[in-house]
Amino acid sequence: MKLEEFFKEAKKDYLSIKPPERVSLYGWLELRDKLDKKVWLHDFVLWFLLRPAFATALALLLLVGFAGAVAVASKNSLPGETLYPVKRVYEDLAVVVTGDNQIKLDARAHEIIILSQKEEEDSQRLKESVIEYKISVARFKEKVNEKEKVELKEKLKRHKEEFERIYNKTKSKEEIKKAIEATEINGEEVKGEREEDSGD
Amino acid sequence: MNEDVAELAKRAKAGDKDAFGKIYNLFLEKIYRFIYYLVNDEDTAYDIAQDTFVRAYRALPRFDRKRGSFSTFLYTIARNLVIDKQRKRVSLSLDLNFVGEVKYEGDFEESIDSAERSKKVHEVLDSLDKFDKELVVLRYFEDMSFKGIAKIVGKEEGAVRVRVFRILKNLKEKLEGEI
Repeated sequence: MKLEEFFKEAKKDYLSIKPPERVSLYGWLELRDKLDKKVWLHDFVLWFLLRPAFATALALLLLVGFAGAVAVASKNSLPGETLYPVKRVYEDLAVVVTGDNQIKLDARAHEIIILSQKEEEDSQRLKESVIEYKISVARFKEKVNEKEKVELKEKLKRHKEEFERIYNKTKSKEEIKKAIEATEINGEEVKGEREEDSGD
Repeated sequence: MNEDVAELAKRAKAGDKDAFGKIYNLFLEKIYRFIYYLVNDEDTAYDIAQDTFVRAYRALPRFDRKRGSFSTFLYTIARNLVIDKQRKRVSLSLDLNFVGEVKYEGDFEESIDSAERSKKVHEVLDSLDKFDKELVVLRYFEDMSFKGIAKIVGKEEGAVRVRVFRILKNLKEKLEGEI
């Protein structure tokens, strides 16, 4: 059999295929109903489930959005509040990502200032915040290089000015005094270390 | 006819369902036949054909005549739905089963047993893989251009030409050897 004859025979059979009579009669009527059908929630859910990649991407997006919203909400939280641990975790992440250790130092100083204005005289929360501040300064001091020593000294100087500014306005004079002393002592130590380093 | 279809598509795009009904009546037989050839099951072919038109209707706002004819648009949807169905492992048979009355007036020698010839034709076509069968249908049964086929199957026109050339060579060898 030649190729042309083969195709002629095959096409003849192909063209003989017809839709059943019911399709020709009722097909459009059935289809018209389907065209009016809206996409319902269960269709969307099914579609969602059938597309794992889309589901994963959406879940990630929601997770990132939620995490971002919680981080923003926790930004102004104070020790003892529900979102405070989130704020601390966020700070740790920010330090790792940016390499800027001053983030924690500024946050603790800010908490001391806020608590000293909000709380009763020398509250437990304020005491803990001052201790946290001292720890943060000590840790920062251990890690700093020459350039950062200058920055730390400037930072402590600014914090001291802030603490002195609120000293006369707050009832928690004892704790603020401790915070001021921490800036002075550590500021002097950093200065001393720099001078020793320069002398060597 | 192309201009008519283009005009009907334009009206359907604007929400005229009766215009889409005319498109349905124009293409139903061709689309059904194409699908039935690939799935070899009447009910499945009907379901996929209906889904093809539903999808086409919903995709009308995205249909651009400059990117291809409405016919190409429909065949592309139908082919994708058949592939989806096969992926979902719905019981489909890809065996070829040519049935029905003979409409084509051929010039074969009447002395040859037509049933026997038909059986051999099926055997040879059945030896092709799925994709090659699609190309044979579109090119030699639906008389489509290589450009149109390339759009439907999502390949380069040159690649389709080369593949069809190889299919022909393959078929020729089989026909010479077996029939």
